[in-house]
Amino acid sequence: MDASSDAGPAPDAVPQPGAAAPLLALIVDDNAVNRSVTGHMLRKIGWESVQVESGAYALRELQARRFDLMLLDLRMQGMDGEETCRRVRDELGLAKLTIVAYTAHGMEDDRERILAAGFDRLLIKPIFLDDLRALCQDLDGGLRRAAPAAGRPSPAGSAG
Amino acid sequence: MNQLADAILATRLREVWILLPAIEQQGELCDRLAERGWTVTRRCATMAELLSALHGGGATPELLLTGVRLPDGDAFELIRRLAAQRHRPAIFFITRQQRAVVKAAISLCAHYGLPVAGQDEAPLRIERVLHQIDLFRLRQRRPGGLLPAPAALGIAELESYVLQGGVRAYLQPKLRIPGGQVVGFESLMRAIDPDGSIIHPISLIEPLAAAGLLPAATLQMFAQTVAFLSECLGDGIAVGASVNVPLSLVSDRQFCECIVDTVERAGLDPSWLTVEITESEAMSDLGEVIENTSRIRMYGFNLSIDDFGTAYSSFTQLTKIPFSELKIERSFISGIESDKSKQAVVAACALLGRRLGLNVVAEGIETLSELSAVLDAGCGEIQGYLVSRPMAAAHALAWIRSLDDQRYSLPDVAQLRAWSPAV
Repeated sequence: MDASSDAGPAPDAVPQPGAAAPLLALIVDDNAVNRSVTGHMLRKIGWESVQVESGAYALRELQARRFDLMLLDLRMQGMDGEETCRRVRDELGLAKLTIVAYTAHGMEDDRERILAAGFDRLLIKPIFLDDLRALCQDLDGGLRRAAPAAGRPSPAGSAG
Repeated sequence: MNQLADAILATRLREVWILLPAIEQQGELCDRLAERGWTVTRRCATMAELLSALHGGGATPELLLTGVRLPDGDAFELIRRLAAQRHRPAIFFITRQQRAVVKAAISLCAHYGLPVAGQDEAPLRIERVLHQIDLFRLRQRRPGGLLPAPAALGIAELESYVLQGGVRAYLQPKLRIPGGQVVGFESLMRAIDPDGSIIHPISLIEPLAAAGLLPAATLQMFAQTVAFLSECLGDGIAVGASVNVPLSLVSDRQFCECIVDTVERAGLDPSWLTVEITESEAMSDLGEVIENTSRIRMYGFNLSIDDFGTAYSSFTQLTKIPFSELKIERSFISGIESDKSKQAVVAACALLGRRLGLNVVAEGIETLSELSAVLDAGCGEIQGYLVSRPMAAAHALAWIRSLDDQRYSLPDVAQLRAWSPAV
């Protein structure tokens, strides 16, 4: 509508100079707008991301490279979030990969079941910049601190 | 003759009546009021005298100075009986009664729609009373008469607004506190007159409903809001938006299908959108309301209860309707920093909302001291003129793009504390 005329690309944050190599997140969501917004937000926070639209693609990506975080939509067509998570843990053996579920509001009652499926955390949709920043800051500190010392608590080790 | 008539008319508009037990300094009060264009035209000893004088017709005082305990009754009875009058003066209370009693009298006036010019303790302190009366007159003069009366909008005009795209979504930002992150916009209905002036919802929504045009207008609002959201999200700006939907429409299957279709065609996850219903609506038949609101949630939208705390809230309703957000009625926010009851109500609403897992939003924040008080009360999000008035979509888009890190800069918590009223 009349609002669209002056639309332009949003300025993406540049990774901070002097920072270590950016951490990498895998975004799994069957909604393209959500994937792209989450990717934008992660870039502002200084993370890189790979975006895929299904659990099957997610499994393939996880076999191909090492990720520091997986953001997984629970309600997807085909393989849903819980099943994807189980397979990542069981079939790929990625026990240490941080997997965060995001889901509609009102799932608090299901929190236990969701966490039991192998998720580390639960975010309620819609997810805003501060939510992701808080999550990433937690992870970032842990991951970067762990890296130089005893080596990463290698999520990728078992993936080959 | 004409001059005389004008003079009388002018005096009539500024008449003051007094219903107070023998007040000292009465002469001085009359003189000082006269300097400001007020004329004390009647002093009554009793409520009965006052009411019969009003009944007598012709006399139309603009202001009444009264006590709370009266020789033949009390202010509460007086207020009720004044409310039944065609002509209702604004009331100024001068009393030695405890605060709670005076507040109750003021609340009763508000309930009946009687204007309150002010209140002060007896014995009379002229300066303080005059000051409040001056402020009252200033408030009266504020625009508000700027809007056309509802009746001024005919069906033809309304139809042209709705059919020719004259209905516009104006967007007011919603922020998390204390960080100031913009997390959403409330979409508010405005209409643009052919001459370019903006028509506010007060004069729009009821006539639209009466003309059966509210569904079409709400769908337009929804479509414009979705278009706005698509722009933001397409830019990587993560914000949601809410649309006010009358409960009658929420229960309309066809309407729900239309909004689902709008969102799907835009490729948006419905969780970016919130449907707001008002509390008074939420009170109609609970079974029906649960059915229809649950359907909204089933489609993936969020659901907000607007104006919480106004009408007939019940805890039952709040626990049985699948709300995701609670918006506290703005009258509890206005002046909260100096009103302990409001602080208590807002803190309780915030606690209740949080414990139920709801977003708690304080609407109508206009000052830093209100912001500080709602932060203290535990509200997680705010909306109001302090941040921004509702903006046209293009303007709102430019506004959010101009923000650094999607954050509106609010004073930090320590600074806000400095604004807090002493507890």
